Amino acid sequence: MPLKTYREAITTALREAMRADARVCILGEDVSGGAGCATGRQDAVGGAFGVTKGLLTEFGPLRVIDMPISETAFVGAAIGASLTGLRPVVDLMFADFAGVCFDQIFNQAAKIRYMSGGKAAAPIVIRMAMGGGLTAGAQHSQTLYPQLTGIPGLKCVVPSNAYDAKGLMASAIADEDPVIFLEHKALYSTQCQVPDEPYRIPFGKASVVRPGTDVSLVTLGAMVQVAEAAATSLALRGISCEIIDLRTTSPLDETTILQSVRHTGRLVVIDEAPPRCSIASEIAALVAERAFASLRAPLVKVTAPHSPVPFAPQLEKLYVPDANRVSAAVEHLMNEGG
Amino acid sequence: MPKWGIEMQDGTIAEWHARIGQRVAKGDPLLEVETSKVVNVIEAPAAGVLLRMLVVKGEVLPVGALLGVIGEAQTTAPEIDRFIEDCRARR
Amino acid sequence: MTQLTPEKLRQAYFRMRLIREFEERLHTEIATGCVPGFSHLSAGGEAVAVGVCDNLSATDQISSTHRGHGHCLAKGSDAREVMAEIFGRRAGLCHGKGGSMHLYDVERGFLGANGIIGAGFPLAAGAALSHKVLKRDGVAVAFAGDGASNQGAVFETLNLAVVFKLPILFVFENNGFSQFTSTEYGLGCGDLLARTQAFGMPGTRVDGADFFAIHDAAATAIRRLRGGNGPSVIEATLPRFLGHYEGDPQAYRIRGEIAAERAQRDCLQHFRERVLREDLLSESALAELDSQALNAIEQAVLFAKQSSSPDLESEVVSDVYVSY
Repeated sequence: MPLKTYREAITTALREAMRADARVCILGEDVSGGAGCATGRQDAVGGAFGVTKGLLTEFGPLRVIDMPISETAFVGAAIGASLTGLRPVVDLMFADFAGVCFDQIFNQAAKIRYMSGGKAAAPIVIRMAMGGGLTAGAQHSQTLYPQLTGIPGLKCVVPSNAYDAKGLMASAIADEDPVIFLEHKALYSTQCQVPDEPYRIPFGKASVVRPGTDVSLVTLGAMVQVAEAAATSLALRGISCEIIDLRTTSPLDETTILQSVRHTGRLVVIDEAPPRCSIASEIAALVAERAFASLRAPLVKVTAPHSPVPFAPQLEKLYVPDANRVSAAVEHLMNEGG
Repeated sequence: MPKWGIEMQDGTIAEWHARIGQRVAKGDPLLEVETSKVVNVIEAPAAGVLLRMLVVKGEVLPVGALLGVIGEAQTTAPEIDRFIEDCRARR
Repeated sequence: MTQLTPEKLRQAYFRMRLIREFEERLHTEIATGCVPGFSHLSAGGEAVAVGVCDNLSATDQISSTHRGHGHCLAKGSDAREVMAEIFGRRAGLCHGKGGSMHLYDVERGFLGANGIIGAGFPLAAGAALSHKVLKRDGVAVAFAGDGASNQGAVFETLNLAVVFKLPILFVFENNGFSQFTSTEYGLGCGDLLARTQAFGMPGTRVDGADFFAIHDAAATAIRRLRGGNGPSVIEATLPRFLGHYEGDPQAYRIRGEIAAERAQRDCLQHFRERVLREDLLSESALAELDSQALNAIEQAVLFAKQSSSPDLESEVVSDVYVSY
C-alpha cells in the first residue's frame, strides 16, 4: 500500500470528491495562488500549506476560487451557497482566523438547520490549520476545537494521521451538516499507508490506537503521537496504556471512552489546548458522571496552561504537552491511585 | 540548506544551475531544491567561484547541511577540505 | 514642499537604512534556521514607514501589520530589542512571548504588528478616540496592505473614523500582492484610494519609493488631523523586494521582476540621488550613515544571539493578566 503524507491524503480526498460530484468546490485565499498575477502561473501555491495544489489545473476557476482577504464575506457566501445547491469546502487557512468571521460560523452555519425547523441544511466544510509546536506565535497556533465543539449545530473533526485524514475528509464532504475540519499544521508531512481507493471514516467513532490494561490515554490530533511515545516508554516500566484517538470531538464517541475506562479504571486526557472548558474537561466530566464506579484513581488532565501560546521555542516546548509530561503523569497516577 | 518556512525539516536537490569553476555574482541562481511544499532556488550568498558541489540531484539533506563552497579561484584543495571540516564540526 | 533640515534628512536616511539592513540581515539569518517562526520582511517599504513616522511623536500611535518590523523601528523601538524579540529571547521587546508578528511597544506608541489582517485598524481608531475624548493633541496612523483593504474590520473602521471625525490617518501600502494573489484580482472597483475616499474622507496617492512625497503627504494629512478636521487616507504604491514570508519562492512573480524593482524602485537609491543632486547631503555623510546603520544591525544581531532564551514554566504563564 502506498505511503502518503497527511497533506497528500487530504488533497486526494478533495480531488476524489470533486471528481465524483460537480457541486463540490473550494473557496479560500490562495487556494490556487497567483491569481491575477502577470506570470499566469495559477496553481502556483495550492493553499498556504499546499493542500489544494493541482486542483485548479484539473477543475478550473469556477470550482477552485481564490478569494480576497474577506473572510466574513466568503465564509458567509460559502454557507449561502451550501444552502442553495453547492457543496463548498472553505479554506480558512489558520483556525485563529475564525475570529474574523465567527458570526457566520456560529450564528449562521451552526443554527440555520435548527432555526428553520429542519427545512434548511448547510453542507459546508471549513478547513483550518491549527495547533502549536512550530513557533508560529499566539495568533497562529490555537486549536479552536474546545470552542467549536461546544457549539450545537457544528461538527468538529481532528484527524491525527494521513489515513484518518483522507477518510474523515471524504465523510466531511458527504456530510449534510456544517463540518469544521481541523488539520494540525505539525502533521502535514507525517506519512503512513493510505489506500488509493476512496473510503470513509464515520464521525463519532474513536480509534483504539493501542490496547492496554492499566490506564486509558484519551487524546486527539498531534497529541496522539505524544501519547504513543509515552506509552512505549511506560511499557518498559511495565505499565500498559490504552490509547484512544478521538478523531472527532463533535460528535464524540462516548461509548469507546467509557468502555476503555471501565476496563482500565484510570483516565489521563492529553490535550494541547488550555484547560478550561476544554475537550479534556469534557471527557473528565463524562467519565466522572458515567464511569465513576470503575475508577481506581483520580482523573488526570495533561493540558497546556491557561495562557496564549508563547513564541520563544523553549517556552512553547513547555506549553505543548510532551511524552515526558504524559509519562510522569501516568507514573504518578499509578503510584498514588491504586 | 536554508530553512524556508516553519515546517521545513529537509530538502531534496532538484537541479544544479552552476558548474564547478563557474564565477558567480551574489544572488545568482545556484541550485534548485524541492521540499514537501515548494520548489525554490538557492542563490549565491556571495560573489566568487563555485569551488565545490557537495550534493547531487536526488539527495535529501536536512536544514543547515553544507551544499557547496564558494571562494576565490586560487584556494587550494586542502584549504577547501579544512573549511568543509570546520563548517561541519560547527553544526 | 516641506523643508527638511540636513539633520532631519540625515535622521530619515539613517532610519530607512537601518530598516533595510535589519530586513536584509534577517533574510540571511532566517535561512540558516536560527530564527524561530514566520517572518514577513518589509525591504522596499522603508520610505513609507519613515516618511509617515517622522511626522509623529512618541505620544502619537500607529498600528501595523504582519509585515511590521519597519513600522516598529520607524516609530522608535530599539533595534536590539526588536531583533531579540524576533529571535525569541528574554531581552526582546516582548520578552520572547510575541515574536515577529506580535511586536508591541505601546509606550512608544506602537500598537503592535498583527497576525490578523486588518485587526490593527480598530485599535488605531481607539487611540484616536482617546485623543479626542481626552482633548489631547495626539493622532493615530493605521497602516495596512492592499489586501487588508478588502477586510471587514477595515471598512467598519473607515466609516467609524468619519462618523466621529477621529484624528486618524489611514495609510495603505499597495505592493501589488495579497500574499500570493495579485491586488488587482481582489480589488473589485480597481481603485483603492477612490473606494476609501468614498467613505467620506480626502486622500492622496503617492509613490512609495519617494520619501519626500510621502513625508510631504503625511505632514499635510497630520496637520489636518491635529487641526480637528477628521481622517484622511494615503495610498502608497511600493515594491516588495522579498517574499510574502521568508521561504516563499514567489513563483507567482515574473522572472526578473524583483531585480527590476530593486534597480528602479529603491527608495534609498532615490533618496541618495536627490539629496546629492540638490546638494542637501554629501556622499561622505551618506556613507557614514550607511556604516552606522550596518553597525547598529550587527550590534542588534549580536545582542539577540547573546541574549538568553526564556525557558522557565513561570515565564510561560506570566503576564496573561494584570491580576487574576
